[in-house]
Amino acid sequence: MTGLKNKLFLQNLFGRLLLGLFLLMGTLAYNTMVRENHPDLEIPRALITTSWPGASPEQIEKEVTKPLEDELRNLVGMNIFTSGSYNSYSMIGVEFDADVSMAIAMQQLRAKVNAAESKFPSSDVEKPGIEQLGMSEAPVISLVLHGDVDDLVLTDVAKNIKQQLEAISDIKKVNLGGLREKSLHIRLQPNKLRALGVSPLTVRDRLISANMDMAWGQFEGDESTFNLYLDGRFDSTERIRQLPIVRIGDDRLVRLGEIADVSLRLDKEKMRTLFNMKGSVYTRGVTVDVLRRPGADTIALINETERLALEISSQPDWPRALQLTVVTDDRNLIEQSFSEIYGSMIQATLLVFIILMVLLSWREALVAGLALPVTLLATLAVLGAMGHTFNATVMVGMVLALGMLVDVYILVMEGMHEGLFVRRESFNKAVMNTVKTFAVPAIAGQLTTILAMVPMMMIGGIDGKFIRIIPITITVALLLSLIIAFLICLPLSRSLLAKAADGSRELLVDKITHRYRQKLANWLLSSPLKSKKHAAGYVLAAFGLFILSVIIVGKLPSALYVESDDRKLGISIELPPQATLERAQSVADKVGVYLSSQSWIEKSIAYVGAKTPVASSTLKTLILPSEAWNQVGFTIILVPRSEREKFSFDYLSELRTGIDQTIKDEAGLIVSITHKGNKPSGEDPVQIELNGPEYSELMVIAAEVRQRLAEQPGAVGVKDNLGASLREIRFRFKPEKLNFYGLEESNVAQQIRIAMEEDQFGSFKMEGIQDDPDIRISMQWPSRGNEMGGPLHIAEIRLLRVITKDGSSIPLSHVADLKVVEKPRVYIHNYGLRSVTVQSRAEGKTAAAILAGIKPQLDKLQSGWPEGYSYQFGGDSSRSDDSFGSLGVAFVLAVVLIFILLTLMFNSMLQPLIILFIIPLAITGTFIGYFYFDVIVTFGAMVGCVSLAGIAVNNGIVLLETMNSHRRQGKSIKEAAAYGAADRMRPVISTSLTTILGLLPLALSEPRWYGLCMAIVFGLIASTIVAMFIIPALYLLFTRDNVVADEYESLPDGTVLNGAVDGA
Amino acid sequence: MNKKYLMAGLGAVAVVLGLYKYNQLTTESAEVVEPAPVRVEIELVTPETLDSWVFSEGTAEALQKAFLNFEQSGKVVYIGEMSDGSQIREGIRVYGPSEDINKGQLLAQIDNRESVAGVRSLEAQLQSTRERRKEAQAGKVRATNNLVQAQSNFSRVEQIYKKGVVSQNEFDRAKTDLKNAQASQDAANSGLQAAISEIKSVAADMNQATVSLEKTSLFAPFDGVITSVNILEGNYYYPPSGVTSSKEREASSAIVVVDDSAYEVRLHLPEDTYASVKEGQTVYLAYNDTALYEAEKTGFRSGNFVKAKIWSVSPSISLQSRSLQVKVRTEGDASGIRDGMFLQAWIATEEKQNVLALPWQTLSFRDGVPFVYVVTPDNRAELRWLDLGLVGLNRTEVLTGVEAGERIITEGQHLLTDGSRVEVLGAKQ
Repeated sequence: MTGLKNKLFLQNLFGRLLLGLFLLMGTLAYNTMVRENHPDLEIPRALITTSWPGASPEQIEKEVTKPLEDELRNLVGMNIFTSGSYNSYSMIGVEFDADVSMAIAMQQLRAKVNAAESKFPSSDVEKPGIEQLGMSEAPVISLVLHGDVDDLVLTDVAKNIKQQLEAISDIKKVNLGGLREKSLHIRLQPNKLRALGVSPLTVRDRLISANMDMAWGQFEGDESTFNLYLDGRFDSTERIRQLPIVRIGDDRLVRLGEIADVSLRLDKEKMRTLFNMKGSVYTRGVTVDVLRRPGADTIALINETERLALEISSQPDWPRALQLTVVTDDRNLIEQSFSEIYGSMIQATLLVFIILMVLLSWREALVAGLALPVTLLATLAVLGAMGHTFNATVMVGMVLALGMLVDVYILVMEGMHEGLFVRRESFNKAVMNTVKTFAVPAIAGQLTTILAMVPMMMIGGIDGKFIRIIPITITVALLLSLIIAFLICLPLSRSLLAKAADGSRELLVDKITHRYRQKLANWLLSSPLKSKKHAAGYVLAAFGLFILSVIIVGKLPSALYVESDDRKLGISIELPPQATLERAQSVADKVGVYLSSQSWIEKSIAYVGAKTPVASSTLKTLILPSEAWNQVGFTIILVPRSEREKFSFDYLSELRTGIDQTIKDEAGLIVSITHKGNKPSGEDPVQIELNGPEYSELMVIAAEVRQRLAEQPGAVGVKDNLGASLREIRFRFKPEKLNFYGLEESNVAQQIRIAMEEDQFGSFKMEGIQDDPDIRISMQWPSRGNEMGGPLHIAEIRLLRVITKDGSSIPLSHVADLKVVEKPRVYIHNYGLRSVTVQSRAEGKTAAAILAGIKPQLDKLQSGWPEGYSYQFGGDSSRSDDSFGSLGVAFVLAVVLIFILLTLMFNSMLQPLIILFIIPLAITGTFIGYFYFDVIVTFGAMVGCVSLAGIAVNNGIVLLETMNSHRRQGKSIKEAAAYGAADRMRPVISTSLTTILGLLPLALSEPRWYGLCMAIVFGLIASTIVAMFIIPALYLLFTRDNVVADEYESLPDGTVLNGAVDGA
Repeated sequence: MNKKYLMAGLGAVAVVLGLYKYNQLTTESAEVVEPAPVRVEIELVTPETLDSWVFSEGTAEALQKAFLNFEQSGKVVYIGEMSDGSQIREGIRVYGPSEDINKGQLLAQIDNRESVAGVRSLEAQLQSTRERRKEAQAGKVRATNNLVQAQSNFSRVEQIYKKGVVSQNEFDRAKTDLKNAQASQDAANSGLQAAISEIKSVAADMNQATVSLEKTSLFAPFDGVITSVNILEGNYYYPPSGVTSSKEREASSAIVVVDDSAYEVRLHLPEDTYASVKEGQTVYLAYNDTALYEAEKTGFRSGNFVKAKIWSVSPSISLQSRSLQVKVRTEGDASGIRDGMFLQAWIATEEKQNVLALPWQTLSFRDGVPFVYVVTPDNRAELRWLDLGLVGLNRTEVLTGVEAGERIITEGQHLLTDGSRVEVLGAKQ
């Protein structure tokens, strides 16, 4: 046993080895761990996309989305279950509870989707695709391909880049924006068709049957064998032009070229992208947005992408006029966010080190100070081994842990100090005494903190998972600090401390302590401890303060998260639904001029005819339409925080006003800004979900609610997710008329479909392995001239004609009735019900306050809605009750665990209660501090409170132990209480001070950590001050005379704890 | 003691500050901010003229069109020549008869030898018939002479017989001779009549034969353009038979000449347009809708179209196609049209003066019922349900719901609800 002790604590070989191991592993982990901004939580979410070309949103909703939803509905543990039914496709977004295993969730999902497939109405419905989604679907790096080349070349090169980049295994998907696909367009001339009596269906059928390759088997001769092959597919436009369609009379052959315009050309322009680097003008190009596979290393991925991009663009066949520019990449954002937290970690370490210098001699301070980085490195190594990534949350956990773990080092060093300088023991004896006397209290002190953390790890949901990393990091750091303190610091301090055994000069702090110790003891004896009544008075006053603080906290503004600085912003501008691409471009131009003149904006990408990917990166926004001519989007990258005056979110109202001014002569625009601010969900915080059976009614209700929400102060950027409705002309056939003309419904329907759309019928053969362009059949419309696309004016609908079997044509209006209705662009479901979400950002007020303000009005409105229509709050606020609630449970659990530990330690039920009483006092400090400094109560603040419980009780433990030891030395309860508190004043204040100073740099660096840090800071300040007289008062009130002596036999000798302070 | 006052003072400040903050926290919730007004574009409703349209299509046919045919078969021996010596062909302009020239331009001739032979045989026939007439006339003279002799002989024998000089036998013989002579004369008379009739008949045949000789040549009946030449010099020509439709006639006639100054288009309109289509309405014709669409934007003041008027509206509905036949005739310059062209026709069926109309895109619909937002004097949006009337090409008549002089929101209405505040942008009108 002694041998082991020698090995562990005295010989420094083991210590050295351990130190070497920690340093090596830590450095290794630091260099190799995946770095990311946010922890990449493994939350099972998926997007199920099913396409059915040619089906209307209503058909998709009823016949594709609904069967799928019916199957999926009874999956367990779904958090989000939403869908969008579009023209031709359906999207269903599913997010499972964060605690459901990814593999199981995906397996269940696949099984259900397979089951639903059998209910699809037609074989034209394609097989649903299931795409697994990460936390954020925003691109990690965006490149732009630009240059003065032909659009067809641009398209080819962009597709080539996409193909090559997607070969990188960590890339999930590469999205090309502003790209025009090329297709072989056959644009029928309606008057020719009618003059010749050729139905578009004849053309279609001829084309499909002629465009065919087929293997014709093998010819096996005696001497050789041949494969027979029909090489029928079109490989030149001329061959398509020459395709015979019909023969009229004997010698009148109508070829496709006569009745249609055939050309291989770019598709209808759907969207454009432009980019702007600091100060320059907007340049048009094709954006290449790279999406990361969940779990991949972002920085490595970006490096690899850049390398490959450079390689591709330096190949000899690269068109010289083309350039590939990296416009945004998350690497800078991650590194910056890293360096910010890293900076505050360094600052915290330095501050703690300075405190150590004041509290201890420089040698001891040096040992403790050196132990800090070792602990952090070791923590990183352990976390890396546990499979965590190196992210901001881990760093925050480490900063939080810093102030707590340093207590162990102080304790150990004080023990050594006392042994070496006060008791004049040999180094070895001092070490063994320190171990003997401090091991248990040190472990107990850290254990209470860890016990407070454990329940926090059990909180479910995204928020729980998001925050879980902090308690894990703290726990690991605290455990490691114990190992390092005893197994490394003690043995290895020999070289520093052994020689200095003679230098026992009194430190400055000792002098100060001496002066105030007696003052405190005197004051305690004269005031709170004068009598039990006095003591009770103080306790009641403190408890009263607690009650008051609880009342106050109910009135404090609360939100699940506060936003933090975010360099990436999204701007979405929605034009009136009938807007053209040109109109969208003119709006984008105006806004672009404003944006490029702002000095705090570094660069931006403009999306004309589409939303910015920033605005559609969450599950709920992914199912919304992202490409439409009435959309304009900007992705903005701000200059680094150090180069601008304000936090990103403080620019938002300026930005909004600025944009508003530039577009003040444009009617009917909605501008909304996406500022994710590092929140886990990244959604708009204010969400009101409206459910009901009919969209016509829902749209009216949504308009009312939008109006009401806009009237709420603090609600900005009010919009609904349905967007502007589209006018739909609904036709219904007159069966008798169709019958008279010998027409079939399906025939007419398909003729009109060809006239209105650009459907694909087969593909066109290209050389080699190039993508085969689609063959698309469409109709030339009068209002379009030579441009592609459907009719622009309603009058043209009346020009639609149908060709009958005998070759004559009749107006569509002759065989069908029509009426005009308004329908949403997309049919959105929430949990299988038709739903609209009215949403806004919250600025200057919290989402909860805004929702509380609008609730009475909504209730009033709801009474006027028809049966079956209802509202509910969504977004953060719907989760906040759950999250706050589960934190409450965690808090109670933490207190109970601490109580059990303390009961075991003190072998008493009463004394732990005294210690636990410090928790409400600490929280009183937090609440009052929040109240005075206008801090928003967030999830982080609540986490801070739970952590606070674990930290604050440490002070109580130390005080109580000292008081007990005084009692054992024969002092009266009153004196024991007074001198116990006075003796422990310095260590209590010093440990609190290290914790507080360790947190301050982080609190001031980023608003998102402010609440969490300040909860602990305010609480510790309050608990430290109040504990100095409330704990003695409680001790006086609750300690019985007779039992004291027996109770503490099992405890180590408490006197050593205050030895260094007493200098006795 | 100083410290105590200081502490008390600080405490008091803290309490006052606390109360103030608490007050702030609890009282701010009830306020309501006026949301920023929605920017809108407006249009002032003013009475205007609105056209309603019926769309159709049909084939243009020239009003005057001659399908020239030889009325007999034969070898084509001549095809008309132009002044430069080239033969006439499609697209060549030809001239019809005028005041000084009785026949139009000669276009073609077929071989007439057979007709000449016919005439000659007829002439020979005529000669022989004439010979026979002479013979008959001579026979008649003879018979008359015989009769005269027979009569005098009979009167002498009768007198003698009455005196009883001759016998009964003698008398009977004389009587029979007379009767025979009379019969011979009747026969000679009818023989002559037959000969005369035959001459007349042959002469008629003769006339016939000479007329057909004239018809082996084709002459331009009026000024126009040759649209089809279906004969070749030296080829044999057969007159068409069993031709009914103009399509078939077009393909089988020897030469087709068309007057391209005026056309007629037959339109087949759906029966439900019966009420609106009337004689005399203006029709715009063009090769495709695009041209008409462009022209409509200029109010049909310029563009690639031809103006026409409805000539007739058939009162009955065709059983075959359940449609109404409407004939449209061009007016003025019709050079944009060619014979046989398949045309798009836009009929301006109704013109209403002094109506309130709105562009289609201004209208919103709820459950199929149209509505618009009107800007009130205090700049708020007011929802108005509408009754629509006549449907124009881009605008539609509003019967009730808005009044002249009101400001209708044409853009931005998708953001409005009844009572929303609006900001009217630089009005377009």
